[in-house]
Amino acid sequence: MHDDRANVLGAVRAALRQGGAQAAPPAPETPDERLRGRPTGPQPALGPDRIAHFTDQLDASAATWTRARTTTEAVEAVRQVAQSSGHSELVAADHPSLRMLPWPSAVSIRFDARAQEARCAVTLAELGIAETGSLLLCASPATPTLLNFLPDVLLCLLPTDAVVGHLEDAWRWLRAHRSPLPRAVNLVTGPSRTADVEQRLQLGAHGPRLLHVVLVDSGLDASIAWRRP
Amino acid sequence: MRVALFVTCLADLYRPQAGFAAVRLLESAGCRVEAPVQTCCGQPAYNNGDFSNARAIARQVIEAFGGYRHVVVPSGSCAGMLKVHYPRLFAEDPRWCERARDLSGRTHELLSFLHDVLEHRDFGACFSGCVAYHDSCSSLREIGVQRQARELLSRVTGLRLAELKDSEVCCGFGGTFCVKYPELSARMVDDKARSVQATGADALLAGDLGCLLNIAGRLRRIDSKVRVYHAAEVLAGMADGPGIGDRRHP
Amino acid sequence: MRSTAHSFRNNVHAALRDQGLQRALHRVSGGFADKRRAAVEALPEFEALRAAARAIKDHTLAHLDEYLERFEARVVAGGGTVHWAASAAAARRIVIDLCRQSGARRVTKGKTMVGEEIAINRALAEAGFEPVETDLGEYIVQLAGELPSHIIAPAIHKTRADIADLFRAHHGRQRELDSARAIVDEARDVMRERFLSADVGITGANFLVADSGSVVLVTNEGNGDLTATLPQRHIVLAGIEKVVPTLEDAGILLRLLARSATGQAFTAYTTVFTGPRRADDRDGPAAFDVVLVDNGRSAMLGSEYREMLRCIRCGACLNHCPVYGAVCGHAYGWVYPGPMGSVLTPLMLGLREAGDLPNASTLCGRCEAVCPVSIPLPTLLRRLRGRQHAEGQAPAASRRVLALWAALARRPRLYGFVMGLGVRLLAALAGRRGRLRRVPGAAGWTASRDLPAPAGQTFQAAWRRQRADHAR
Repeated sequence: MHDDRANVLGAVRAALRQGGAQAAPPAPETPDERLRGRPTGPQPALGPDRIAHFTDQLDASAATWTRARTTTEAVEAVRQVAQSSGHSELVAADHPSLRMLPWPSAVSIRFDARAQEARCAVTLAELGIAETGSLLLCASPATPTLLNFLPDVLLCLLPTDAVVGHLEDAWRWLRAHRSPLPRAVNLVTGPSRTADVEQRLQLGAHGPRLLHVVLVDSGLDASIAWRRP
Repeated sequence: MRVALFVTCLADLYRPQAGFAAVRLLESAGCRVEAPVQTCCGQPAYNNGDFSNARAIARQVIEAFGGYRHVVVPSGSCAGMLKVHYPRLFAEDPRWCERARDLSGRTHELLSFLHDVLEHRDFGACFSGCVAYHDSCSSLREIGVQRQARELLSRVTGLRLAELKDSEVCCGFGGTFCVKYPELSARMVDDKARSVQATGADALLAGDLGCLLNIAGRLRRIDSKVRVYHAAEVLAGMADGPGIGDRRHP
Repeated sequence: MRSTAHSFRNNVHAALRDQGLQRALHRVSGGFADKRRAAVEALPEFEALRAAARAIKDHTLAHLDEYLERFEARVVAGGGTVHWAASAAAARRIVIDLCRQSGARRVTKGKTMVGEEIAINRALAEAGFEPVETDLGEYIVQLAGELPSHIIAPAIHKTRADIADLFRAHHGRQRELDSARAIVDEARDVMRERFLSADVGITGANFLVADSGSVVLVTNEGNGDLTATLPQRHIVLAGIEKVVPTLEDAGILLRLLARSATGQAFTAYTTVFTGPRRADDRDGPAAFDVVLVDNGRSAMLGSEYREMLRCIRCGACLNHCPVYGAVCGHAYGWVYPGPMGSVLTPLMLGLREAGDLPNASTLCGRCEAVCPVSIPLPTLLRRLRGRQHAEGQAPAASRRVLALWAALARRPRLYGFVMGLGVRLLAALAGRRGRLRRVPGAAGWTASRDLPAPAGQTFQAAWRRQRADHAR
């Protein structure tokens, strides 16, 4: 296959030797230095209550949410939201942390490696990011990427103590705990939407119409699936 | 205090009243005003990519105004040309760049000079009526005199200030743009004229004659009764007569 | 698509008279600007972020070769492939070859401006593949056979009725589609089938992260992710200027991107893609290919237009430009409209093709004021005008008039004399009325405006007379 690697890199190098730009030259930091140091830039200030900031951002993004003090409250929240959106059967990601939850026998729940094919699905996020109200979901055998996109209704459980402050915290966490990076790391902020028809916002363009987050104060460990023997 | 007036070609040729209003304001603030022989700041050449002629004209201006501690300009766009663009024009010529930077430091747009440098804000003027003020693009983005204009106008007895909707949007003059792209310019000035009418104001003011000629031209074409003056004319109490484009008195 | 930038004046004429377009523009007018303003006011750190973003971009561009090589090394280490295309034609060849290798039939596409730039849809169709746009706005313009008119909202010029008609004509379903909701639901339905049956997915990239060999892609719909995940091959098309050093740097730019584009703090889906599927992944492409496209960017890098490469394609400049606001994107004739297009199109297609674009601006500066990476757009536009002037490309009539003006301006006494006569004449012509409805040679002005009369005597003449009187 014809490839212009030498051509393009040569042209870039020639351009840099030539000089270009009349703007002031940038600080004399080398790529090696920047890649080693990974400097942080300005961050939006968060309020004193990180969780409140997170849930405010969830509201702003048109996600709905519940805060559950216990796993019992959490599964009840899931059941209620599924029911009120017209789904009596729950399909959940095949994730040990979800299996472990105290699902009441009255609740019909199926743990399925192909949960993404359900119209209403339950998953869990590894981190929440307060700055933006985002859920951080990594592609994994138990939580395939498509699970975040194909269902109409997506219910996502998140340990409350997994809510970090800023994007930088998330990047640091990924480098420490998910290295090499998974194929896809999704930062999901509210349901799918479009304003392409007369600039009026509609939810549920190609992805879920409804995103409901259940913050679980205790008893939920989202990272279990990664601990392989 | 001795100041030189860079009157601007549009004031010189079209609306000397604006120049004389500037003189009156400066004199009542205690300045002695001189106006060396001058022509144009060179913007038409500059904005049409004729940098060589622009530099020739700039050198002439730099020479003519070299001996004055303060150069005052009743126009945001011409002041911007001297302050911001002259140094850029001579970026490759250290000697003239230095002189351009020097002139830049001594150059002031009129309203900001009165308000910020002389701190003379009340000229005892009266104007009974409602006034809309248009911020020229250079005044907003090159010079930064949004606040000062309104503060000076607020001290005019009897004057009520109405804020223009979309006051930060260009009026469509743009120097030669208005004749090179007349349809686009017509749309922009029409939008601006309708904004002016929507305020119900009796008069439209601005600190730039390019904008004023443009908007006045459209207002007159749509038979609007809004009178158009340079802000200096109102501040100097010289807005009793015909506005820009109005019928002359016999 | 072929450029019609050379017909800019005709395009403008048509756009101003297009009632449907004008109604759509009126509906949108100011909306994006208001939303951006609200987002900026809610973020005290905005200006600090802008400064940081500009610094990141300038630093990266100053070391572009190293960062591109680093990016490539990490992509390859992660199991992906990087391809280099010097030109649009080379990029098309690479993409077609990859699609052939995958035995593809249907190709889904997330929104990619570079894709439009290299006209990849036409190339795919001619090579026998079926390209399907998945971004709703892009899908709508694809059905209409048009170019997108706005880089963030491609179908901004279409009304609900227009879209309903297009869907009825192309989907063969006899639905009413009398609401935006109904339209979106039908699009979701139709598109889902296409997502699932695609063999290759092509997306753009908002950022390429050198540190990890990752591609960052943002959408509100989620179509980018479905395009990237469902097919067996994911092809990323990206200009070489898209690379940033680290995820931290991408994060700074992400903080500005959505706010500048739509006023959101963050888009619904921000995804970091790194390589093909892993052995135990249950979904994802087996092949991950990044096509790095030059197509004039290295030339910009070495020129006085390097700052244009900071652009993160947010569309803020378009949203604040009064010219764009009056005529929308098609008038600019090619892929990139508004202020950024008025710099890019001449640089990529040449000034002979796109000569009007840098001139159709009052240089009001609103674009530069809202650009998240502070590109000095009016300066770049003026520089292009300088190049035109130097190459003798300005129309003869205007060159002559301006040369005459400059010649007079350089001769103050002659200027005073000639102008003095001129204004006396004009004032006399206008007489008591104080204005002129028609002036020979000034039809551009008088078509829509009266020409106010000058006072009749110049300031300088009156001033000198006053001084002389005083002296006596």
